[in-house]
Amino acid sequence: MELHIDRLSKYYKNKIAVDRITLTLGRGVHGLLGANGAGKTTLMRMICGILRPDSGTVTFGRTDVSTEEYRSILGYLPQDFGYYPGFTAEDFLMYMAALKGLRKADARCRTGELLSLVGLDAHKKQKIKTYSGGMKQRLGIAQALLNRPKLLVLDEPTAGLDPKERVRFREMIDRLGQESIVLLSTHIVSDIELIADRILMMKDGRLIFNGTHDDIGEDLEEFYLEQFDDIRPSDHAPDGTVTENKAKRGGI
Amino acid sequence: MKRNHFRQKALLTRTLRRLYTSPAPERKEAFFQSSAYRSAAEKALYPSRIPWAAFLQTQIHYIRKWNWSLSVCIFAAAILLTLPPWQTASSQGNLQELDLSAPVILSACIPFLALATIAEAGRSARFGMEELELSARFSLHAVLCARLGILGAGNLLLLVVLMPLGPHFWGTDLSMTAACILLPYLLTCALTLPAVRKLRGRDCTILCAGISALVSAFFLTADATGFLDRAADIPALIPAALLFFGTAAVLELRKYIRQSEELTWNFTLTG
Amino acid sequence: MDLEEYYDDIYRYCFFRMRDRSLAEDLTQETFLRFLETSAYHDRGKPLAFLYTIARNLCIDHIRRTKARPGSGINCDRSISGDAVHSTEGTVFSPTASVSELTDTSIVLAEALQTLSESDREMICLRYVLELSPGEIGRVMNLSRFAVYRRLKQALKLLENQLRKEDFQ
Repeated sequence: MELHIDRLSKYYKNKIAVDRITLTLGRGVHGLLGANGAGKTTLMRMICGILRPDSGTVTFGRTDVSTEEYRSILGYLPQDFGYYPGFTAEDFLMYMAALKGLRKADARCRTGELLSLVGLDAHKKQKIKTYSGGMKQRLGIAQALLNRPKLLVLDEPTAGLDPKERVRFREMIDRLGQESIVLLSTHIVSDIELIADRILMMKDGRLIFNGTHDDIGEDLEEFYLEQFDDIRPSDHAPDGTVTENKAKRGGI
Repeated sequence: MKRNHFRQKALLTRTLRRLYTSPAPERKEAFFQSSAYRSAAEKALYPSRIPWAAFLQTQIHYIRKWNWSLSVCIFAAAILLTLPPWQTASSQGNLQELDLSAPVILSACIPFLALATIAEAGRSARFGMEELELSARFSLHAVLCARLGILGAGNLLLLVVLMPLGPHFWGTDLSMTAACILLPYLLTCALTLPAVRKLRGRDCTILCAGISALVSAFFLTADATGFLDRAADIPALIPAALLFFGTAAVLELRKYIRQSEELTWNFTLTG
Repeated sequence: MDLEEYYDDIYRYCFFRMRDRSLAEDLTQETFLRFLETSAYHDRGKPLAFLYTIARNLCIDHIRRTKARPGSGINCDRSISGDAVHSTEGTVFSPTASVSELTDTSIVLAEALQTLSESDREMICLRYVLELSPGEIGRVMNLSRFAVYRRLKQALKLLENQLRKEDFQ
């Protein structure tokens, strides 16, 4: 079963956030690269049925994004999320499990499994407000996996993770990509390089590249910079960087 | 005779069992280990439809307990208000000197009941859980309906139960009792729901609290200023007001719930 | 939910009906898979009656299908109901024990059972051999609990009469 996105668009008052994106995603890990404001989050929200598109469709197999059935196979990690005060990690996962329609016994079982998977087992009874950014992010990843989703959408999942956590995360995503469709967005090129089977690049709401690492042929980082900085390789300074655009390279 | 029958039955059963023998199954363990069974079992963990009743049950658990305490307090207050000296004496008694009559005190409390319910419904927005809840199978929409439905039903039940106290203990007729008990609730709902729809965060909380306080104060003073009495004199005014604010509340509620079907404000245009 | 404990009972049911060991096991397994596929099973409480219902329907369907093809499903067990046994009207839910295992009184009972209708035999089997409650039997056979009580009582009476004829007491 594949995810079909057909001419998806979203317009805001003075800006086109997503401009007629057409895309088919199969099993595997798909990395979505783009600068802030490129429309990644908007696109992901439409894929998750959270934002209604102005035109275009999103379907998984034959199931439309607006149905409960679609959501039942979906796992989503938003860029930023909150939690009800007083919740511990366990409470949080049990709450989300109830929303995802899991039966209590199964929810408990799954909660335990996932907390160990993301390494929060020791902290499961602590309140989320005591968590570090990385811990909260791991909790977010855990909740996305509760219903064993066939479509996993992760918005900036590695933000806030330290290098060790990042490695662990990459391994997990790699495994998940073997059985489901994983779409993850980031502006950290190295993450994509290592785990993505397919690379998507967005700029100003449009998809400017959709292919594999081999299709690119050159260093991914340079390719990325070329696309986003509108700079040709000859403009690079001898040390390989372009000074005035260093800021744009974000977490590289 | 009966014992015989009994023994005979037991004998019959034993004999029957001996008559029906079967060879042991051979492929049992292999079957339960097979991938066909395993994958079917796993898929079965996610039935395609969960009854609403099960979902509501889980949501009841997450509604904070103090909402129920508030209802109980209001009910208790109403009961206390049925005791003398709150009962209307025929014409003597201290009641003439009191500026407040019992039902009006209740009217002052009831807006906060409505406020509490709406605040409870709005917890998803307040704590940044909207995105997560929207993407879940039982979407934010369902969560809101559950919360508002459960609390709303509870409130309505409470109010309906309080209604007979009016004619019975406080000498107010049905229309006046409804004005004191139902009207503050409907009025507060009709005014705070658009606020929750359009505003977020701090501003929203302040505005809603303000509205409830205003409604409360209005009813507190309405009796003293004779407003209620004058209103009661105008025929059909109170029923009309009830109908008007009731409809307004329902319409606003629908708008609120419909809005919850997607993320409507864009706090991050980035990404 | 542990379904393994029900396997043996469902298997026996299928065997009593179909008289073919491997067919019975196939149908049993099919029953379990069907059961898991039906989404509403969680709401039905104990799965046992539902499992039986599925098994029953699968068996009936199978007979219907194979009736069109004569000579299929023949199993040559020597049983008291006949020499070569296959699933026909007369042998469904008939006793399955082989002749050598039985005492005289049992044989009499077996013959008495043959005088009952197939569905009465099924009911007797479900009640006394597989130990279902009358309510559960009702659900499986699509009858009211009271109908089940009545028919069981009647069937037992019939059996007793037959046995009395042979001076069983």
